[in-house]
Amino acid sequence: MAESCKRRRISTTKGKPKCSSSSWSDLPTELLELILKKLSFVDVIPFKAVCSSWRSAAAQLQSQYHSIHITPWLMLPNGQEDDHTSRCFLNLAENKVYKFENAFEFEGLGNDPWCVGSSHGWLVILDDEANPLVFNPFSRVQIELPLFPNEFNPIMIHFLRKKLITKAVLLADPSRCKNFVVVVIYGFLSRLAFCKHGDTTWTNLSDAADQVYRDIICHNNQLYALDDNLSVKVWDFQGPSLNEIVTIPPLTLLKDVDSTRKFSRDIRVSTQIYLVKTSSEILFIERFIRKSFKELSTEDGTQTVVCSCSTKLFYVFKLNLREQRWEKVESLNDQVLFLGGNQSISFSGLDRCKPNSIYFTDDKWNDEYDTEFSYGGHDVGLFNLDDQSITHFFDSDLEKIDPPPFWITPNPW
Amino acid sequence: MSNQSESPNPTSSSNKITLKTSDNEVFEVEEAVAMKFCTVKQYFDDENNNNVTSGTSTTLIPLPNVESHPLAILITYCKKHLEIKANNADNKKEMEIDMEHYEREFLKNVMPQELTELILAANYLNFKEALDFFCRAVASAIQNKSVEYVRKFFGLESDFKPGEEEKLREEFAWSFEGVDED
Repeated sequence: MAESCKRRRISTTKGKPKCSSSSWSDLPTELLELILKKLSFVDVIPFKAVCSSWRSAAAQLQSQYHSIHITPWLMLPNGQEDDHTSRCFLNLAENKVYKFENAFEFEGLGNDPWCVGSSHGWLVILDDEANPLVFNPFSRVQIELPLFPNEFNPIMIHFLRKKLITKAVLLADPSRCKNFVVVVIYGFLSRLAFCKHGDTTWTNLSDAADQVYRDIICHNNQLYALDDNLSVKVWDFQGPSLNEIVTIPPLTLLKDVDSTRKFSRDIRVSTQIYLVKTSSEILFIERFIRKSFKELSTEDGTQTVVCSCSTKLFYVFKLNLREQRWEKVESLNDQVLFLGGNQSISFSGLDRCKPNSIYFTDDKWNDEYDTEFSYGGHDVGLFNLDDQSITHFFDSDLEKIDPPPFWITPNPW
Repeated sequence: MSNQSESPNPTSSSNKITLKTSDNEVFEVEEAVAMKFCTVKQYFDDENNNNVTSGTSTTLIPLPNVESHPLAILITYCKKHLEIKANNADNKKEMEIDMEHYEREFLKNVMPQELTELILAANYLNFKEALDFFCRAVASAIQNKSVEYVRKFFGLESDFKPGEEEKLREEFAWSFEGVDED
């Protein structure tokens, strides 16, 4: 306070006052920035078109934004049949939907891009021929990646690409780091591979003895991978050579919880598992999804039975690194998690989001039998740990939300 | 002509400070009010350190960059601000509610053009709470409004080269949609 008070001194020289007129065009950039700072990042974008001084003030301001303070948006299909390149984005914080006409209509993206990952506001996309690339739908910048080897019949590739890469994460934000690394879970055996920006090939990360991997996350240049046995492996990408630094043994504690489980004997219930890095913990999340049969009326008036997935419950465990075991967590306090096909993210005290909650989106589209169904993608909602309730904040008229909804943290700069 | 400050704040000292605006109007204000203007506080401290004057009540502080109209509004705002703070010294939440209520009423009597004067004056006087409040007021006035509305509101004209604005609009087409009617 005292320091800032020293900045302005009163000049006692007599003469014409310098800024007593009230024209906004004379408003110093620092004051314009103060005003724009009161708006959400998305409200600032159109004001770049007001005049050149506003454009520079907004650009200056945008360089200070950081995606950790921005509530994720839900990326949805446009809803029009045969339009695979437009998307809608639901801005959760303001409950407003933005329509991106031809968001994906870009040379190299193909006619039907398939999203396999979302980190730092960037998507990892497979084009029609299953070639991976990194794309930012907000800045419309795309970055090529090396071709991913496959032995699929070219006729089948459009369908089989969903099995080629099932999840991709970025170790860093490509807008800020030129040497970002992409890690993928790939193939029917769910192995790991990575490439550094500029590489010409992908490098295998797992050897033949490795387990099937279920989820991956990145933090501080380290990759955490959760395998089918529920053990976690950590690799460090910091140094010149890649090091596997730690393996945390299988999740023994889960057996104890098993007996109390509501769904342990329900064959209609399947689980999806995730790793999450919060500000201080590594979390393991188990999501329970119940399948049910739903009758739908088709256009010609006949009834058809479809399989509908709905999430019922989440369990949260945190890693006790010293004792190398997982402990059940009853509350996330003010934290909010976003789970789905994206790299799992956690926020603390996020504006206009319910604290102690998990916002989830449908990511059951990798099941072989589900891909054939004409229904799906609706399992989107929020789970609150206080009262164990599930709330739905989004509804769609579509029978099949295809491509499925994805969380993305806008990063347009 | 001189503007006398009314209803002295019981919690502050009775010292008065005289401010002289660029249009030669003289305002006599409570010390507590004047001290919220960091620029005035700094001048005052400097004068005291230099021992130029001994009796503070006779100090006349020139404000060559502030006109009487915005200063009068700022003084009113500042007095109310101090009053609300004093009335709710032990209840921050109550204070915020009272302040919000006052600010809402306050804005009903302020024209958009006046906001510019107020922002420039609050900035020059380095009156942080007021500057923050007026910037918030402008931000909420233009939130979710079209570019044309904003230009009209601020009396601005586009100075882009041909094609520049179109390029921006094309690149971020989604962000221009769904705004309020002008």
